[in-house]
Amino acid sequence: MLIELKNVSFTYMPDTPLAQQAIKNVGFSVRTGEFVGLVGPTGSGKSTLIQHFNGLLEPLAGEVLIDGRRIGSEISALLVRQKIGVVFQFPENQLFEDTVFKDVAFGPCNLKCSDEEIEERVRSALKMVGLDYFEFKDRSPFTLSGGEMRRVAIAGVLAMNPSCLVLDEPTSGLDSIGKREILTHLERLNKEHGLTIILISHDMNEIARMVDRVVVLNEGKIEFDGSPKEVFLKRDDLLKMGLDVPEYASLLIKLNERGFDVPLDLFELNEVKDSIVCALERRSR
Amino acid sequence: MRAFSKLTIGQYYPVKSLLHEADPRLKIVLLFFILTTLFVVNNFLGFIFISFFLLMTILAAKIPFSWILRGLRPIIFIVLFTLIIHFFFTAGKPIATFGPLVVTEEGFKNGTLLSVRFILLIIVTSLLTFTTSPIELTDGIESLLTPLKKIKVPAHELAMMMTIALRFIPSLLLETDRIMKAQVSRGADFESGNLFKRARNLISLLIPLFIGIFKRADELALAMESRCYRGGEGRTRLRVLTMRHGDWLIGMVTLLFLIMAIFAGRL
Ligand SMILES: Nc1ncnc2c1ncn2[C@@H]1O[C@H](COP(=O)(O)OP(=O)(O)OP(=O)(O)O)[C@@H](O)[C@H]1O
Ligand SMILES: [Mg+2]
Repeated sequence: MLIELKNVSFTYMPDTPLAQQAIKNVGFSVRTGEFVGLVGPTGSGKSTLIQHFNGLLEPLAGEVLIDGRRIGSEISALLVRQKIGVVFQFPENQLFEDTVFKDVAFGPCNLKCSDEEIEERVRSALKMVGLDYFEFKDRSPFTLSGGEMRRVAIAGVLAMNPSCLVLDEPTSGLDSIGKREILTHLERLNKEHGLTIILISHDMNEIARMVDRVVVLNEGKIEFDGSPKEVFLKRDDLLKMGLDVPEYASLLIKLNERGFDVPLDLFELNEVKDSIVCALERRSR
Repeated sequence: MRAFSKLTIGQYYPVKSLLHEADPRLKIVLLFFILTTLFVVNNFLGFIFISFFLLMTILAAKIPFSWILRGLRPIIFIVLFTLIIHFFFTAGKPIATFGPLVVTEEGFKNGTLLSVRFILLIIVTSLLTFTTSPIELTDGIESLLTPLKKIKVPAHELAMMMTIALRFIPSLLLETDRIMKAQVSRGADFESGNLFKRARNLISLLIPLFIGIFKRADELALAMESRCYRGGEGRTRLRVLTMRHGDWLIGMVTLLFLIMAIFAGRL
């Protein structure tokens, strides 16, 4: 197990009238190579949960294991942060250097890499997010477009050479081109580089299309955990929590209720179209 | 990162109580009266009166004593220092000796009185901030300063500046926390390392923070202007401060106690 949470609970501002239990007894683990989608309504504790993955928050109860070792006692915080790269919401707000190169190099510098190694890492990190090294390395991050800034910020985390990448709503506030750019690169990182990815998103279409496994968090507890097909079949429960269901899943479930024999686990336009056409042909025969 | 969760700026303690609902202007004025009394009173009897009164107030305000004690934590050192200086370095009638050091009666009395006065002073002041939200506080201050507009004191502008500053403190702390976490995730270390390394890490926090602050200030100015804000002239208010019967009663009781304390305290 790459990441393992055992009965983790967390409360903000404990022992005050403002105390708020954000995570309640969560048990959850992630295997190497998985692509996990973490969804949940606003305030359900997603951002709080991911801060436990790299030791930014310590659980009030329970424990967090990385590669089977306890954060803090059995594995150092710095090593955890190298292994589990966390990209926060609006990561472009963390950029501070005057060139893209220096900003992406911040992580490797902190890990005390040699100069050649740093250059190599920056080069490959920028490539992973689809930015041309020679075109971008000397530009100021503040002159880039929103989508490019965000990709530079993600590259800054990738340059740490993590084995798992955790992203908190990486596509929020971007236009559809910016979104697609980021998502295709994430997909490639998972398929081609074998990077484990945990993706937080409010866009269910995005989640359904990309991930192998969906974890639904509600009021600090894990409500569902399974393949997109299994989870999105619980359409009514999800709607009650205030979550959407992918449009295609919605359509297929409704057709199924009306007696059309269509599979429920399709999330790509072409596949959905073909299956509906098939079902209609079968019926007219 | 840990430090921020323990910092309780403004220290407002959100419960419903008689004192929480009282007019902020009343509370500010009474605070001044109590502070004055604390400096007029000069013996233990007077302080006993005031302590009893404060005890009642704390109970009425539904503030747990642990919070009051927490507010006193930063001044423990100063109080101890005051006590020691006074005990051992005041000339007068000796009452006890520790080796070469002599405690005098005057030193004992002055030191204790001064410490008690200081502790009570902090308690009263924190009672105001515990029971009054920052917004109410600035509203109260603005209202009290209004008569001074005649002598060109910019009461509204001062209050607006305070409101905005108070409004931004929690956001800034949150923003600092967020950026710090993002940089720590990239291997930054804000807690150890040599001076050069720390300075470099601090830059990674300060630059994004300042960019954020300027952006926010710009947006706020734009938002205020687009909603036709043009200073305090003729502006009506959402929350109109009113003195209710209960408030007058609180005021009377407090004044009564203070007068008794002053009489007792000057015997
Ligand atoms: N720094 C903080 N101090 C106090 N409470 C907090 C803090 N951060 C979050 N909370 C509270 O913890 C709960 C969980 O918040 P969290 O940010 O983890 O939710 P989320 O699932 O990420 O929501 P969103 O989808 O809006 O990002 C919320 O009720 C929130 O009010
Ligand atoms: Mg969040």
